[in-house]
Amino acid sequence: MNVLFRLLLTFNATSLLVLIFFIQKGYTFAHFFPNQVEALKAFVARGRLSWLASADVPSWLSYILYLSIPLLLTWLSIFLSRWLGKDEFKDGDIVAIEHANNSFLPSYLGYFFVALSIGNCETLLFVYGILFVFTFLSQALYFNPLFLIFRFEFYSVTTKKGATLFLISRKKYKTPPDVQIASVSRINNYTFIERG
Amino acid sequence: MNYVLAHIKGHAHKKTFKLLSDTTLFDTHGDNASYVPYAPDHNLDSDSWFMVEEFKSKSFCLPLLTDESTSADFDNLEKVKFADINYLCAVQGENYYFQKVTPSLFVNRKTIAFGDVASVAESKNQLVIKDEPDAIYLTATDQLIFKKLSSITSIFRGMDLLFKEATNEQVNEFLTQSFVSLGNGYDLNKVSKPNRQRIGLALATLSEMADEDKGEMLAYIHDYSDNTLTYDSSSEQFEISSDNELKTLLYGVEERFYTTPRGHERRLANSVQKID
Repeated sequence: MNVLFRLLLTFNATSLLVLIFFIQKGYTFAHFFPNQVEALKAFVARGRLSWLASADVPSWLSYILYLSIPLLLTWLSIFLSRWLGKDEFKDGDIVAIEHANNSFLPSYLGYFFVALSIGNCETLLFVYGILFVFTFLSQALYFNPLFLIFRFEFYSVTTKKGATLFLISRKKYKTPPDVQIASVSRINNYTFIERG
Repeated sequence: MNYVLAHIKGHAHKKTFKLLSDTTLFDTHGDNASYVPYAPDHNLDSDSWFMVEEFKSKSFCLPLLTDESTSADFDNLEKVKFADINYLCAVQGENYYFQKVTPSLFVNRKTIAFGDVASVAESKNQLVIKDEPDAIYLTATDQLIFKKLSSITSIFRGMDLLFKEATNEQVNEFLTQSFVSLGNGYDLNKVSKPNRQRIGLALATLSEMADEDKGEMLAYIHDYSDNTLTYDSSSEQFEISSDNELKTLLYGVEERFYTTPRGHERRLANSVQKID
């Protein structure tokens, strides 16, 4: 169960690479499913909305469709996190806090540039595979910018005993005493997410 | 939030892990129990607990209790290590409940579960949680309470040393006291384990006793042990020829004999507790 959940998070964190590649190549929905799209057009042409059939389907419609998949899965991962193991941060447990929203942007921009320079689907498959495995194994790299869309913030917190943990939360924390959380879900031993 | 930690056996660098979260394993310990400072020869009432006070300052206290860890500081315990669990520590509120884990507590057998229809459940490895923890650390009063020392000495390493039985030298020291004469081939090697524990305490009592009080003590022991101990008044020696006689003498040194004030019944207290 836990492994499945981590696979889901890894997929969400890396899927934007595939999305950028598709956009760069101009792979719209029609590129992958030409027959189905033609059939749909033919179906529409018979009805009252026949003017739609002759119109070109804009590419961005496809891209938004692609984007909605990781968005939905990210929402699912947030929803599923309610069943993870719980921990508690009491007053005084956290002695240092750092806002970490920016720290993952460089690595993410890296993904984008890689995606833009990939030449074909075979290269994509391998590059994505390697990236996926490393992200999965690194455990600390579940940085997913899509969390930002769900209004989550990223923090690096240090416990009284000295462990540095990664905290994902909707709350705006600024100083260590702010971090008092009755129930925080444990994604892995270094990453915690506060729901709600 | 209550959670459960597991401490594993072996030589791994990291030994304490988080096992469960948001779980309460044991019934909350009430304040109505009575606590008795630990003494090896004390027979505990069923509703009483032994206690060790100022536990944090003791050498056998666990780092877990002193280093102010939070549950997030501990990694999750991996499944393969379940069989290596040495003890559980349930953190409930501010108190810590300990249970020693022995191989007999792991069960792996078929059970019949009664639901709407009875069904056989093939139990996978399960760990039995006892009704009562082996020890509880009470943070507010800095006390460790427990019922049986032997069941927690592998949790708090070195705790048994504090209450160890007398060494051969100490036993010998007692047996060569001026008021003891050995008979019937009774010697050092025949002293039983409970008596060795009593000797440890009796030596402490003797060392605090003034010499002039010793005569009084001998008269007191002689008075109460008329039928059981042979007393030679000329040499002022008790003859000890069995373990049972040694026990009587040790009870005497500890002033365990008394007479009830109203009924004038002569009694022996095999377990005592200070009132003040």
